[in-house]
Amino acid sequence: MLLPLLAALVAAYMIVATPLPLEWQALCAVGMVAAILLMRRVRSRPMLIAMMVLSLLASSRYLYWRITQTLPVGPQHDAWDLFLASGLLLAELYAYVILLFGFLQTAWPLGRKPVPLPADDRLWPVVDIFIPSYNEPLKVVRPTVLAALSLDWPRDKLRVHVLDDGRREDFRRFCEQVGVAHITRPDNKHAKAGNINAALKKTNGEFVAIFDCDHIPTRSFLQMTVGTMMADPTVSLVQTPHHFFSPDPFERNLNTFRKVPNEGELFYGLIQDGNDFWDASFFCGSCAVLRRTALEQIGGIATETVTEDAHTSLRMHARGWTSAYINIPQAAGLATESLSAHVGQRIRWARGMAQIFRVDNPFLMRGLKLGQRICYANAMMHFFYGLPRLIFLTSPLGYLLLGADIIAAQGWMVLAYAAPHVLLATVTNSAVQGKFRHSFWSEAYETVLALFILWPTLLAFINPKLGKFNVTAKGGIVDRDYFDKDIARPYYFLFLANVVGLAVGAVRLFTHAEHADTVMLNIGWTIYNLLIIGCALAVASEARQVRRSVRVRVQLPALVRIGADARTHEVTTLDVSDRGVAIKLPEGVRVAPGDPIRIILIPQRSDVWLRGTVRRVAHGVLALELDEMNMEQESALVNALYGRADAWLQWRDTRAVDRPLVALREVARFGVLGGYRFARWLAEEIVSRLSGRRSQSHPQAQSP
Amino acid sequence: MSGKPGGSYNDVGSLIDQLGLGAIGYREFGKPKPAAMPVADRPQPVTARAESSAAIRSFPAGRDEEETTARVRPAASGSPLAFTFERLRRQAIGSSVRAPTLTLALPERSAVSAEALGWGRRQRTWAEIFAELEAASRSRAVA
Repeated sequence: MLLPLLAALVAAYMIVATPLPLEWQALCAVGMVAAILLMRRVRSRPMLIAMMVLSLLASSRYLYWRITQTLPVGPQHDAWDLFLASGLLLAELYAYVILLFGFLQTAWPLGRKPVPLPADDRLWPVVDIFIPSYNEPLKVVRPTVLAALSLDWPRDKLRVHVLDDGRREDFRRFCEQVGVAHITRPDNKHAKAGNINAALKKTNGEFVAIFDCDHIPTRSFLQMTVGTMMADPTVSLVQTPHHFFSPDPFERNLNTFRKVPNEGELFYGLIQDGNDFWDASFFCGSCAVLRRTALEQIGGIATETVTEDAHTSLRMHARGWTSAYINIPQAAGLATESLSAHVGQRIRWARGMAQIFRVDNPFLMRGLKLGQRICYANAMMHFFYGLPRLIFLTSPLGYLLLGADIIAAQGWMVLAYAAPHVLLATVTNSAVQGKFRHSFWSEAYETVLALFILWPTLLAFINPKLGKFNVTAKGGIVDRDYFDKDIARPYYFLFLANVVGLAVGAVRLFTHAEHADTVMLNIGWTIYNLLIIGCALAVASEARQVRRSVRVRVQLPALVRIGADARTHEVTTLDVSDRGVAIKLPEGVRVAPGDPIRIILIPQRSDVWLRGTVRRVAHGVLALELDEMNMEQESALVNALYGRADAWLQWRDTRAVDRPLVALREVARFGVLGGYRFARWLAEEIVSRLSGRRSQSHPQAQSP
Repeated sequence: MSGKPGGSYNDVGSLIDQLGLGAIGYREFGKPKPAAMPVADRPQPVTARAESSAAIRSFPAGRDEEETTARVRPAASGSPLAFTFERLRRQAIGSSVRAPTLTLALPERSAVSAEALGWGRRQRTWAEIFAELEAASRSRAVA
């Protein structure tokens, strides 16, 4: 066992450390790229692991060369060169560690299946459903409560509790009306974590299921999760994916909803599944079931950091508890509505993860297994991408604008070493995570957030006590098209700096470029950066939400009666929201906007008529707006729209799998679009300011 | 169109089929109340089948449609409109889009070898080959 390992290490060292002249290195690069493209054709888990190994060898070779041969030391370089070069090298080392840990994390997604519950439901445990809320409006919380009441579980063993930290009268009345517990506390200490801990003291169910107030569970949620915990008494937590039925700001502003996987898909679709292999799936704050005794053993939900969820499961893991991840969407909620809300949420996560890294470092904490240490560390270190991302976005400018020698090597040599490093990582990541994250989109997501999480993570890392819990706004709408200047402002400068760098580089190249290859390499890098920054600017162009309610495209059986016509028609829905439904118009039926209409969704399961008014009729499609509903009607709608056991199963299947070149083209297209929009906005701003100044200096004479 | 809402609708069955969870033993709690479609001006009384609140269901792959529609099929099979109900019941309205699965019972592919076909392979020496060629050339010359 030791001998083959030793031989493999020696071989790896030789691959990594053998210096080659340019021609041979170029051949080596071509060989590596050709190998990975061939390996990619074989779809098997061992081959994916082999690709990861080859990619890591290519990256290791690049970094070894960078460290040993390209640092600008010596009399011909100055301290400024070394400073900038060190920054870039550290950023590359960070990226390498994240790549390595990421490969380890996702090497073998477990794909765990739900475990059946005991045949005798009298043996099923009591489950407390917690729905914490602070300042969310009641209309956001109502569907979650109604869906929780419809969970398929013995009625005497299902207890639903709304944890109302806002202590609101309308919440109390609503809870009383539907028959759920309304739990309050006199203060708001420790925000959501404190809220849950207070409720733990007032309840006694063996298991606790927690849902964010806008995460609506399907009726099968408990039967898909609790069985795992009953079968294995060491399981402290079963987590399920956070699924969003509304587009996040990226998807809305770039119109990529259900075409390109959103930012969270990689984590919930692959990373948590990979974590499960290492027994490192962690609590995400919602859509999960926890074992009360495990929580009590660690003193309840952790309160020291703002990502109390991950911190809680870290502590449970350190105590020897295990966790499980069921990769089946069994609840769905609203994505963040605006880019600023999205950024605010990610700042909180980044701050919290930095706090945990500082307070309970997974490398140092006792009781964790090696795989758990790597998975948790990667989850936390991922949020330190702010500074490295900025370094990557500005490094070529150091050479083009400042003449700094950041990489002391010939341009073609850099390309010969860097190309296999970048290409193999891209192809391997595409093969590993192509269903959940398209190539080059990570750069876009990170670029949008980099500048905003940089300072909070740094601050939290230095002093974890600095930082407060910011509730993410849910339920608001973007009611007009606008350019979010506050979010985009930092990127103006980055974009303009790179434009200037590109211009200077072009001038240098076409005039007297001494090292034309190095200039071209930096120009290419700058163009790539401009496309990524342009994409970030495109995201900042907030698109108006046409409707107040989110429509879910779904085909459900329905019955309708239109106007005074007593006939009942069987139809199929096209989309449904909490305020309206679109259906295929039955043949031969005449209807006009304004006609009253009644509808039953899924008549095989429900006899509740919902009343509404026809709003539009065109091209064989009827759109109706629902009237005010009573509780029974609202419950029927919630169960039909959100509560179906298979409601969210196929959302992942409808997307195209990643093709790197296609993805690059898409990102580039958005980059050009974003750059154009920014340039147009900038021109308009300049013109309006200039004309504003002119009218101030030459005011028009007032008419008598 | 009038009659009872036809076809089966089974979100749990769909979940179990799609994920291959045949042995999950799913139970439903909370009785579904299927809608009654009134006929012309006269609403038809609905007599739902009584069943326990914790009916155990197991859903092996390829389950019988009779079982899935048991809940929504009216007990009044003697009604003069039973033929309409039967027709509607057979219409399956799925809430999920699934491509049809074809199972083609194709024979296993296997390589064909000369030995399998009974063709023996006879190794000939160079001498034999040349001898045959020579013999063949002589026979042509004669012709």
